[in-house]
Amino acid sequence: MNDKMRNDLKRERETSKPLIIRPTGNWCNLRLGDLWAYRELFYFLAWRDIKVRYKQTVLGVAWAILNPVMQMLVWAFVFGKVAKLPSDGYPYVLITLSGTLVWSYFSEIVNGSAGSLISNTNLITKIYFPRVIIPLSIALRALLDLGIAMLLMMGLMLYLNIRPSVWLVTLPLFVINVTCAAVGIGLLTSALSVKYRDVAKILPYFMQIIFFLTPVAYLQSVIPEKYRWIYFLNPLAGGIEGFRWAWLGIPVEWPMIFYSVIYSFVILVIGVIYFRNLEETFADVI
Amino acid sequence: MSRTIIKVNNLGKSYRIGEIIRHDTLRDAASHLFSRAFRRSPSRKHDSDVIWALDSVNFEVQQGEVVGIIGRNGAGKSTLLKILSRITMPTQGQATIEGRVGSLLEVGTGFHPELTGRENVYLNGAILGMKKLEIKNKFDEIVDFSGVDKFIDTPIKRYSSGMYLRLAFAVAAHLEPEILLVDEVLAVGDIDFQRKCLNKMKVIGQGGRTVLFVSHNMPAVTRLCSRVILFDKGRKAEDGSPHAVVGAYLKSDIGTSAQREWKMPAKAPGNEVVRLNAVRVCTEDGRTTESIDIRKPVCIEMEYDVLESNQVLVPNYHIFNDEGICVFITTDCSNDWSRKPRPKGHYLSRVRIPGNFLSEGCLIVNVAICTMIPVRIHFHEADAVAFHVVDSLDGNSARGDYGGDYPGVVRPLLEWTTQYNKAFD
Repeated sequence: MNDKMRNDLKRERETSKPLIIRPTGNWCNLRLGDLWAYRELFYFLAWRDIKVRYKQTVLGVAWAILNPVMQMLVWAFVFGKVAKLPSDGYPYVLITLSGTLVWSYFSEIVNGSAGSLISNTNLITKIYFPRVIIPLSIALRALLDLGIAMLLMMGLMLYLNIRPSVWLVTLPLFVINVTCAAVGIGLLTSALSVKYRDVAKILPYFMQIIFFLTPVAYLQSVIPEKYRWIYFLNPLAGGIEGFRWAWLGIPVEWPMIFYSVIYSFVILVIGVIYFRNLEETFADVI
Repeated sequence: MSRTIIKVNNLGKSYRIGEIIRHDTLRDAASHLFSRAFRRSPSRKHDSDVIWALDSVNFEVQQGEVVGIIGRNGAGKSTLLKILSRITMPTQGQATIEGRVGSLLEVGTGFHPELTGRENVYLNGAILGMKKLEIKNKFDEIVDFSGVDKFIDTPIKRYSSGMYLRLAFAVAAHLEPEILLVDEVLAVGDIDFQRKCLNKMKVIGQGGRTVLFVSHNMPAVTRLCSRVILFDKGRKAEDGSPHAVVGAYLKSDIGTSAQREWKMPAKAPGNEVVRLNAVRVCTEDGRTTESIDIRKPVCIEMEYDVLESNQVLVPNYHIFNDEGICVFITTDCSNDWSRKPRPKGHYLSRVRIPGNFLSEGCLIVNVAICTMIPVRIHFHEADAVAFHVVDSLDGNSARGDYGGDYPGVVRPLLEWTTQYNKAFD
């Protein structure tokens, strides 16, 4: 142990307040400081998930690219070639790839979070840490996959000789938007599934419905005007449209983006509050 | 001058019985609600049944104390440790802890089979609350201690269970919190490993750190701890010097009695293969008894249900004396069921210990059922029952006419012969 570390530890000891454990009934305490104190564990868990993910696969990390490529091709064939939906003059593969990127990101977080607490039962019943870092580490892993897949998008556009629009700089905003919605839903499903294992059974149907109500493999402009309001309620729809605008410059309805941001944020807040209030009981119930 | 480092004040944790009978699915929850709505009065009463796993517990621990926590299963020891390590929340009261807490409720928590030994050391270290830099600095020491250095870059799914345990304990042993909470970690592994663990624990204790140590291993508790707290049914029963408290535990009914039954299958020791129903100590004619005449045989019987057919099961008893020494182990080698797969059903296995064999004093019985090929322990219930062996000093026991202190782990009445040659002259 070097001197700097010893001093750090010493300081930590001297400045640390005594820990008081007592029953809590406070609905608004989100204990964010606690989250910060456990950031290293958060990185380690995310790192573990990433490491373990492609172990004993022949292709390894290449799957992070292959998955979206497969989906892109399948959807482009079904919707572009067979159903012949319009693509506003862009190659249909770009429409489906941009949708698939966001959808994979979203579904990886939601599906991954739902079972994450149960598959980490041994950690939850043996060690204290803010439980929220388990689903959050899933989100971090998904973000990495999204990053890799976006390199693919970039490569494909260069190959097809299409320049990204200047609005690409706004992309992080839409990533945050989708992340909020996905993490919010992920927190709800993971906390619920601790007590009710039914969640894992219902989730695939829920995701299927969301999939078809989201313009993943088609442009929202093909939807008749009178049904558009449904898309206004779906934060993911706004996220995907925003993505396409940032990458390709396909025009969007701004009110929809606006609602999408609001909804995502509301979902996140509900998810966080619900989760943090239930997390104390996880070890007893799981 | 030592300072108070843990202060437990009126601490309690309750579970509603309704919570223990879990509603794992929405349908269960719905049907429960439904039945509650229609059978209001009886189920209401049922719902108000509350079990206090820990009830109004008060104590203080000074810096540098090594405190043993003992008590039979379900006495609240583990609940206390879980509350102090913040895994579950108390229902009432509070605990104040000053200093960095490291809890070791299990070794190898979070070990991932796909990761290499090296990666798992880092991961497990982080899970136990070490900083990355701290792990890095101690890495060589940890690997050295574990003795698996050759395999450190091999995924641990290829490790033997012994290597796995050694590596896991090595990480845990290098945790340097001011307060260490340890739960029965030493109950695993071979004798060598256990000795290594105990020595390490001793070093930790001597280093001035505060340790709370839950264990069933009475010799270990008396050797390591400077103070012992006994729990019974969620309450603190005794608190004092190790010898006094351990002695009180072993001799009292709290520790054990001659008969135990498990009425609720969910709580009974066992697994999907076999489940223990009852254990009792009785005389040869089947009368349950707590004290046995040293000259008379004593029988120990266990009742159990075999839930899965075609398993070869070997019931066994481990008999300990009140100093924690294993007097003997006896396994069922009779021709009835040994090496024969058993059909499902209810069984009663009884062993007869002959008279004039055991020493006077308190004897504690651990009960287990195993399968030998391959070795699998279906359950092992420590301190299941106990009984006293008494000598009424009638002069026909092994001690003869001597009434004083008569040491020895066993006291067989052996056959003596004396050759006599008539003296010359």
